[in-house]
Amino acid sequence: MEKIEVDTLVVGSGIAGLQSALDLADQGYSVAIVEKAPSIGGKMISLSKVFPTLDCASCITTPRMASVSHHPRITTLTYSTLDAIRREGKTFTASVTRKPRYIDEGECISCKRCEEVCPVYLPDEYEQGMGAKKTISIPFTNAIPQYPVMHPEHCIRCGACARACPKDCIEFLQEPAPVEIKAKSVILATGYETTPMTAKKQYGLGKLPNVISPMAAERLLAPHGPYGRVLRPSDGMVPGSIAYVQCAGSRDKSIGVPYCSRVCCMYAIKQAILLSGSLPIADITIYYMDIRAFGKGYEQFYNNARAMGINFVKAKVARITEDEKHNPILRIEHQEGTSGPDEVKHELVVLSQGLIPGHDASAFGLGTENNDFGFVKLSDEMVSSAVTAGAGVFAAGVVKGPRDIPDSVVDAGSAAMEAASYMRKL
Amino acid sequence: MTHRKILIITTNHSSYPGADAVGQARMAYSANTYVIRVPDPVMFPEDFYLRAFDKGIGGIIIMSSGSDCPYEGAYERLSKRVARVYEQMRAKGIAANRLKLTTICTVCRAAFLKEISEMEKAVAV
Repeated sequence: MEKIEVDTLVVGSGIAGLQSALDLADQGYSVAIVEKAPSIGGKMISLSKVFPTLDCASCITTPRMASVSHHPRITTLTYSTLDAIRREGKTFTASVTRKPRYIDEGECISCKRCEEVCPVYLPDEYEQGMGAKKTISIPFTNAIPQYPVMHPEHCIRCGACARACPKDCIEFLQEPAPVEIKAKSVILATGYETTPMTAKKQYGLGKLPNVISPMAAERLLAPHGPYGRVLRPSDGMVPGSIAYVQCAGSRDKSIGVPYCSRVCCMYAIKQAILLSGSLPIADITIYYMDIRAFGKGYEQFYNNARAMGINFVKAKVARITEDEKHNPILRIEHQEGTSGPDEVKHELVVLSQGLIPGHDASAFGLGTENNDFGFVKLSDEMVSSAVTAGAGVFAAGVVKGPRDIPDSVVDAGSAAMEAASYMRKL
Repeated sequence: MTHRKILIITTNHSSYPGADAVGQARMAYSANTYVIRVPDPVMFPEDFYLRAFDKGIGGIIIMSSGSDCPYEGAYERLSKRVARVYEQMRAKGIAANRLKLTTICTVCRAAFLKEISEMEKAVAV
């Protein structure tokens, strides 16, 4: 069995995980990162731009991904799950499983011949189901590592990839491989998922084709997106009227997410600003309960959006239905002006979904506690933004609760510093 | 045939990774392109471009990092420099569409290809 010994184990390779790994490794500590997805980079690598600066998201993330993959003191295990972790004295022992990609990573040269000849297309999960990818494919163009993943449940065993591979490295019979990692400290950076589209039955349970998730909207807006432009899913039409439903997956006890997810007002404004750039004559409306523009540059960002002609309507969206052409119809209750119910039709609707925990960290049994919403609780927020109730276990990023990218990066630095300080005293 | 070579100046930070992304995505473009990778194109003096045209380069695309540029103030200086290059080109009777200043990011694959195809048209003999 593969055994790795490092100073720190980082769980998750989103921006918080990558930054904390880099901060520790640059100080001389050895780090192992475990990531369940086939590529590092987390959610940020699929975003279009970030708020409020409108910097290109991949342009900020790819240099960190490249630094991590080249760093002599960082070992990354991708497409790997952290099954269990226990603490014995001063050492954490993690049982990790490398899921099979069905290729020999030592031989693969990322030529993509296998991908080119594979005859089976699957909905592309990186593109949120828009666009297609092959059954054996590198997950996306700037994935790190650049190794393909084969999905055996869809593979028809035609052997085309094996015949095309110049290095003969397709291994149909590959098994999951166990890895044991011993570390002195752990940083939890497991991030989030967005509230599922199926969460609220009044919003169509994810079945209305032109009511899309915010991650899907990001892919439509990204320069390297599936279509190179904004098209609506049902008929490929360029939408002329787009609506955002704020608090679609937050501040709602009925779906089990009673808290505010903190970033949705800003990402909706960001996407609206980008949309008005790419579709100058489109009509964009944001239906909100409150606009939470509390951070640095946020209020200015909101004012810019209003100045650009984006409509802000204070109204709670009660129900979403559609007409025979799949144009979504929003049933709203105005909160300002003539308050009362109304029905408004749009061509594309984006639900501003909230952020829910990416993983239940308390399941690891490391002594960390979760707060009421399932996020990792700090042992004393006033004293440290990274120290959890578990000794030697630190947390960075959205694993602790919704926050934006700059806060996650600050968290990462804090976690790295706390972990280093803890390890020096061992 | 001396008009066909296209010189593409790319940056370490943004457009060279963008060019690399085009390759990783297996997107094809013409072979008469010459990509050079620099920290920042602002460092190239005005006569660099004129000498390049003299030596047989058909078209030059400066793919800057734009607002992602890590060197403060460089992009403004670059645009002023390029404006001076255009003046000198006009004085020498070199067509203005043979030099293009643009911004390409690490994932701007479609934009990269579009700039090249437009420059191909501009330098076509």
